[in-house]
Amino acid sequence: MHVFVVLAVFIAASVEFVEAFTIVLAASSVRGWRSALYGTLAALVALAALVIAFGYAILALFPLGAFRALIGVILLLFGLKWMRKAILRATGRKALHDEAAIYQREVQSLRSAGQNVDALAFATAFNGVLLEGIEVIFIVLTLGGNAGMLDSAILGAGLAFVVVLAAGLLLRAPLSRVPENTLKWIVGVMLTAFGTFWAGEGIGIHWWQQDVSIIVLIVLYALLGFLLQRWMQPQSAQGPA
Amino acid sequence: MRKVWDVIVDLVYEDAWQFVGPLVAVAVLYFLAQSVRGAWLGIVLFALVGLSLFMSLRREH
Repeated sequence: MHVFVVLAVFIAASVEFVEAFTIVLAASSVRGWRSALYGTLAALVALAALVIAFGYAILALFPLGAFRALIGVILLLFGLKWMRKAILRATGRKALHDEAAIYQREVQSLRSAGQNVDALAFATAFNGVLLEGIEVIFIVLTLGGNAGMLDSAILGAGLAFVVVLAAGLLLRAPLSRVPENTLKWIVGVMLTAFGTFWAGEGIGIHWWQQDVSIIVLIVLYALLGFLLQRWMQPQSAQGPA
Repeated sequence: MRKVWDVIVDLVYEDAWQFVGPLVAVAVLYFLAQSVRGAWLGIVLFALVGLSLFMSLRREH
């Protein structure tokens, strides 16, 4: 057992797991946990199949840059759509609640309980987990493989997964108390930020301080969202509602 | 499959700016990133995506 390899993989994998978990949590908070969970499980099965099929060859075979760009663009489009709708709702330009539609949707959902899968939540969770999972596989294989300590690298990644999962589950309860449109506003900002980062990384942009740029992008998009919301409703000084 | 199609139609139909804008932004930055380097490219990408959001909201203003 090599403590430094465990620690290095733990730190690197934690960053990737936090990103994946943030996206799954965001999708499940807004669109329902079941579809996001299915998307996560499908991505984990795909990752396991990739590792079993290719092993170390995955490092040479997988076009990580193109994959990042594709998933980044998809998340960027989803994120912008949610941000736009949340801003329109917060400024009263789109109905905040359509009770009749919500009732119909709930009735339909109850009737087909266990069968319906929300495509958006599924795709968002699947894409996020698949991309981050592949990055974790790259970290484990390169750090563990180069040091000849694959078992230590796997242990580091496993510990990171458990720690991030526990922290994420603790965050679920407070998130459920946030008003629906505010949650959509936040999720829109986060998906747009992640999408911008990954799309940029995929096309060859070298971000300042690498993953730290995601936090900067979240702050910038949140600021932009506030400004656009104020512009859409100049007489109101309210934040996202 | 139908739901996936609905999402695509919804994205394109609802507002072209929020769909086409980011795609054009990523394409432009891809060509820029082939010849120049620097963290400022990230700022340009953010600015173009932000502009797309602004333009899509402008129609509703």
